[in-house]
Amino acid sequence: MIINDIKEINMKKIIIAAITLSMGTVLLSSCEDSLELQPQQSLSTDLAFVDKRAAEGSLIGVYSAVQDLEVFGAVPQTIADYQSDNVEFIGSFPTFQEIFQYSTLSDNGSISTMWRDNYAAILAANAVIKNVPGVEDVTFAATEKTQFVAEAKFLRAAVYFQLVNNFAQPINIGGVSTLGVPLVLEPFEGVVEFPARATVGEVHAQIKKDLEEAAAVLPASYAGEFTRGRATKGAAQGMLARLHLYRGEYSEAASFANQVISSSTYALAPGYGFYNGLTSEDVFTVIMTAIDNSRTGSGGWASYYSPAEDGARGDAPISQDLIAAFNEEPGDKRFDLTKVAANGLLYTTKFPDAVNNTDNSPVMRVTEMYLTAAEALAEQSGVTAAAINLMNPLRLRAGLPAWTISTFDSKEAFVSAILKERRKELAFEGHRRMDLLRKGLALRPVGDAQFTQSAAGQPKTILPIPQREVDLNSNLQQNQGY
Amino acid sequence: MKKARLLSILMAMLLNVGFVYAQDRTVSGKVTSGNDGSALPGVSIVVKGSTQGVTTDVDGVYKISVASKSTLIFSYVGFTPNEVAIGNRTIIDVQLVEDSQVLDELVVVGYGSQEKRTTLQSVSKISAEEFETQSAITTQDLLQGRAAGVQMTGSSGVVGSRANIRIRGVASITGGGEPLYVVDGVPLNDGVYSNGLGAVSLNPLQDLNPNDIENISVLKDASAVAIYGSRGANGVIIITTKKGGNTAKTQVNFDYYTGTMDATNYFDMMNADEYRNFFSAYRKAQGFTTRTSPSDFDQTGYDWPGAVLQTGSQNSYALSARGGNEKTNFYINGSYLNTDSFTIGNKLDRLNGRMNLSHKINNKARVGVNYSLSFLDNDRISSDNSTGAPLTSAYLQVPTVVPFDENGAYVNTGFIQNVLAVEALSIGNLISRRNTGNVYVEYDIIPGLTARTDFGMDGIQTEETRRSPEIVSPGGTGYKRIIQDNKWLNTTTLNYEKYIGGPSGDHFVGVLLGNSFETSRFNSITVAGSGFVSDALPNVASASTPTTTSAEGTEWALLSQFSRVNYRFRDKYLLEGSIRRDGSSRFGANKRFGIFWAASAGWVLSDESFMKDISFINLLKVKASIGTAGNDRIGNFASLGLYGAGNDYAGLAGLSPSQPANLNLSWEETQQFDIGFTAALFKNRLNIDFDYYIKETTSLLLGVPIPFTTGFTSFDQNIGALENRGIDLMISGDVIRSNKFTWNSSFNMGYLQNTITDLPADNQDAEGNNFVPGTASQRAIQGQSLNTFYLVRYNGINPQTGDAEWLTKDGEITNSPTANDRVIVGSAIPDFTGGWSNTLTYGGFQLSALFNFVSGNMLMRDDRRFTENGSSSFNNSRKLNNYWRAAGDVADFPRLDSPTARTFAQRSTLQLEDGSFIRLRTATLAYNFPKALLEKTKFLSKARIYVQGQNLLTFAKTDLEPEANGGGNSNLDFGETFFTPPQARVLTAGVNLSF
Repeated sequence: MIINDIKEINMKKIIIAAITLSMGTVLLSSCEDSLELQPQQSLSTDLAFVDKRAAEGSLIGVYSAVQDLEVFGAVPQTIADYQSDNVEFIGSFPTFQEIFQYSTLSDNGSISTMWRDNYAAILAANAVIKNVPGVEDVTFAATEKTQFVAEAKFLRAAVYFQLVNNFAQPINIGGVSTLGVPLVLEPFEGVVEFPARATVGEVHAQIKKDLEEAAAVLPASYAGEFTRGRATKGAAQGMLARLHLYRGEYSEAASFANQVISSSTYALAPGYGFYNGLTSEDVFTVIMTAIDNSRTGSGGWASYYSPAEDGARGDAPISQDLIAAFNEEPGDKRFDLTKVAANGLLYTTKFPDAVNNTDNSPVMRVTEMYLTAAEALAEQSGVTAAAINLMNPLRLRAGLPAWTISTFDSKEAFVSAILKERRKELAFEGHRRMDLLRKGLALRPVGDAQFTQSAAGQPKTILPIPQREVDLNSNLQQNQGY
Repeated sequence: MKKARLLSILMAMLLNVGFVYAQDRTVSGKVTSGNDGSALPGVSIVVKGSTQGVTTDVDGVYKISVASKSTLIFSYVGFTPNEVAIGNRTIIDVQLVEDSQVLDELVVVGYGSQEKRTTLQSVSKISAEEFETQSAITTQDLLQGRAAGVQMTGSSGVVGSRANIRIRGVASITGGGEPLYVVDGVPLNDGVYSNGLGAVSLNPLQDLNPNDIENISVLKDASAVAIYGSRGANGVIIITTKKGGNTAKTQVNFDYYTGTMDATNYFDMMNADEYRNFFSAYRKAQGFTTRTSPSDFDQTGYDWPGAVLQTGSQNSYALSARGGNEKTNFYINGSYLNTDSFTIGNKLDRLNGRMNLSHKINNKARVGVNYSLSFLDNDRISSDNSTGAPLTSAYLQVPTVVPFDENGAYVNTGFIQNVLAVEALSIGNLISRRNTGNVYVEYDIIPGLTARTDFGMDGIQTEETRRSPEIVSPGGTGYKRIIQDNKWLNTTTLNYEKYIGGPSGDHFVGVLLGNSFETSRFNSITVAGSGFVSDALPNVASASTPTTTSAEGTEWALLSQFSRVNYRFRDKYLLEGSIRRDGSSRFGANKRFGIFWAASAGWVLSDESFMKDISFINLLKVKASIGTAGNDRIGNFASLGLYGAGNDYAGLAGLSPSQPANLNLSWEETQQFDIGFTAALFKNRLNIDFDYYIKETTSLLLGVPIPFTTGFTSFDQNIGALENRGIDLMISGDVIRSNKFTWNSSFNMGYLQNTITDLPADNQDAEGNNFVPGTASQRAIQGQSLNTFYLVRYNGINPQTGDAEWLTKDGEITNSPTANDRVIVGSAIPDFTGGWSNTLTYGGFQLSALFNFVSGNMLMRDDRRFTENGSSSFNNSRKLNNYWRAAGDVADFPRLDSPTARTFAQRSTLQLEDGSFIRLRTATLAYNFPKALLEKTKFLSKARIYVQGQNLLTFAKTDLEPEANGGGNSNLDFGETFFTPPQARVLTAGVNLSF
């Protein structure tokens, strides 16, 4: 009787135990599916080019990468200005301080970030160039595919041009065989490559190829503001003009510059109210809005070029040398684009918004094409009416007297005057450093403590390949002096 | 059958009745402590061989009806049980002797508890008595110096800052290195719930209430952590909260303390006169043409550090009740803490509530709930690398700058913000609400076999608000982010424990089977805007330009089965094995499941007959274990190739590559071997725990840095290996044990050697060593420790020339070193960490002191690159006044016109300091009012008053704070500081009352 009793109890217990365990098992099987989770803010790579919408999103992502603070969002342009003579450095950032003092080291964090973000933009462009032609979507026209690829090629070329200008000796110093930057033309698909540096000649050739292919198919305009903010035929031609100018190929430079000037899409603005205006003055502008801009927590153009009381860092007041250049010809309206800050120093007003960082990045405006065409003509034929006529609209707009053939007694004086105009016209827009170096000039004026070190061809007029990259990639050769 | 059963129950009842009738005698008496003669309330008195029993009342008095020839068993937690045959007596007074040995103590282990005497797991236990008077803000503070092999580095003096806790070293390079925290069976969420504000984000566990904690178990070796599978590799910290008990009387406790807080250490910066003199001289010497005379500078002056440092305060109140009866036990606590730190603008208010309840439905079934809720309001400051950080900016602000204009209004001080204005006018706070707990059902299926299932949750919601005023950012900016991380889990276990052949059988078998499902969903909503009409409008709704409107989410899930089997022969030969299979959503479909295991064996030598004669050995146990555990702290979707959305341009939606794919990404596995012994000597007065371990992590989940020319920064791979090898030692004992005076001392120490044993070869330095870059100063180098400093060696200022000198790689003196001159110069990981605690008791007085120490590590003081930088536009350290002036000077700064004066501040061993220190962590003097006096009050059963100091004494090699760690919880950024606020010196006075 007792034995039966125990048996019965055990039966019950065993059932309970079985239920407990099976509860777990039921839960188990229903939960295996719960392990299949997907991210919510990202798409897997295969979905990034699944149809036209996604492909366009991936192209827009390249623009977004170009918008980055360290790409066309102010930092490379500011660094170049710190190396040259338009601004002083009064800030605290040790990475900028050492660039300004010509004591740059290869572990400079700002330079490392700049290298990283420029290549991130290039790789994003590479993915578009490779993947867009294969997108299977009946609504995605072949012409649109070609256009998307061309836009990506333009952006890739613009970024490579920025890299080679900053990290390699200019071609007039080192020639075509001097070391440029690594040329990476394929997207990253899991195999880590350790590319060596291509020569400046090779990098330039790739930039030229990308720009020519882009110029051949890009539209002249887009709807609305995107004529200024997306890659156009004019933008590609303008970039080619700049490339040839930097290479001293004046005939090609003049030719491409004139193609832009003669385009009905662009016109010299009557005054200086065009900044951040997306007007016909602009050839290619990286648009910044309050919602999407270069800001990564550390700012935009205004962060450096605007004074501290505007909410900026106030690191880059205008140099005495530039003030003196303006004072050589008083009454220059371009000098009115400045203001005296609370610290008593003079700052530019081209980039006023330090709060929302909505100042557009002025990559190229038509004025540059006038200056390029004039300089190229002057270099080829000396003082000519054609070149003077290109310059006078700019002179008059600035409130300065027009030039005549007799203003200049030599080709050299004329070219030098054009370069002075170029400096005052395009100050703080990312041109000054290369305009000096390509002419073999020192970045700092005579008398500056860094004059000798800033002579064209000196090691610290170009940036070091980031130490991290040299450490990681033994094929990368460091620049001399780092 | 049914009839038969009924009959048997009736029989049993009759027998019982018979038994009751046989109770012919009432025995009474008083139970007192053999140590001080005080009455012991709540002592359990059971008639041997029955379940019949009573407990003593508040005066230690009991009364029980028993049969003659019975034996009574008196037992009380912390005392040796006493068996007394009643004989013919009716009054039996009993003295219980305090049981100083911990051997019958239970230690909490994964999914259960084990007796300390027979456990094979390496577990450090910290009990409430050790820390109950410590005014800890976060629970992790309690671990410091108290457990061997646990390195707790206070990362910052900011209230609620993230602590860095490493158990037996770091077992991962780029995966997370933190242990898993489990509170009453609920693994806690510990993500990033706040912004860094110049430093690292806040401690995700700052909601926990130290006052609720009964004990903390730190699980260290493989046999202890394998049962936590993919989350065990970094160790597990199990927190057990206070529970009720079957007490005669509900115990009501009131705890209060109040105190002050000051900074232990701060930089000595130049005043305005020193600044003007130094900088004018420096600029003149360097060839500048402006500001070369003190009179060229503003003639004003202000003491910025003095304005942001203050004497803060701390107040804590806790009111709890615990008690219950045979069926229902409860613990209820409510507490409130408020802290006003030593830096302006940094405050914390915290409200905690807890209810732990258990109830016996019948002899077999039990239910219970453990539940806590908290509300926390942290008034935050920036710190470390932020120009709005009170301390950083106060140090760097030029001392000729004054915060107010002539009308007394705040002024904008430029890039280095006017931190007084920031703290007065801006908002920066984090409100956090947390609900953590579980409900459970337990059922004893047959004697020894218990089924348990629990449903747990951990829901945290944080709301972070920031508002910059007009003076900092024209128009002002506003920000709000709300984060919710909601976890739920279910754990079901079957546990069987039995001595085969009765309670004194030779064979013990224990089997635990379980499964668990756990998932958590993280969501955040962020809005930000700019352009406010007035600083008085706090919310983003009033902003003219909405700059951010974002909502994000992510989730993970973990599905597990686990088991642990114990076998003991005569409690002398011990075997244990455990296994866990984890499936995690964090890994690619092919590698989703992983199996982790451990096996251990032990031998209680002291139970052998050949040891019986060695009378001074009370216990000697040797044990060894081997096994594996994993680490899943790699983010939720590390294996997928991803395009990140939200990379928009001019209003068009965009996608950018955000992560390269590695579909083969798998578990990081740590294998650990441990051998050790536990000994109790001299009537259990001396206890020793010793463990030697080798912990090897292979297939590291390494975010392998790849060239930026790939478009990415790193690529997650299973590659490389590292090893932690060390010794954990704990020695505790009663140095003096007499009626009046006792001295209890406990020493623990961890020795640790961390070595990177394998790294991918495509990342080599000039010497051909493989490495993973960390910060600009440190890296993980194969053959060295994970946190190896790699710097140019600073050689001092040449007394003859006044030029600063460094060493080239070859040891030659140079004035212009380059990055190629960097060499290995030390490690941030200490060789030795530990603590020494002492408690001296004399009558009612108790004096206790806890020292903790760290030795053999280097500390990189990145801030000195700013405070000893003549070229900077900031204020500098007073040390620079001692610049080189004449041959023979031993100077702190080069000759002012030396070219090296400009490069003096470059990163080198100049800023690297010895991080070793010994600190008097806590010192407490307490007085326990005598029982006799308390009895007269009729309501107080215990009263204690105390005073306590924290961080009163520090012996360090550095002049500055030795304990700062600006990298928070990062594995590759350890032992570096950038104006990290120092630890606080806290003085408190408190009272503990029991009613």
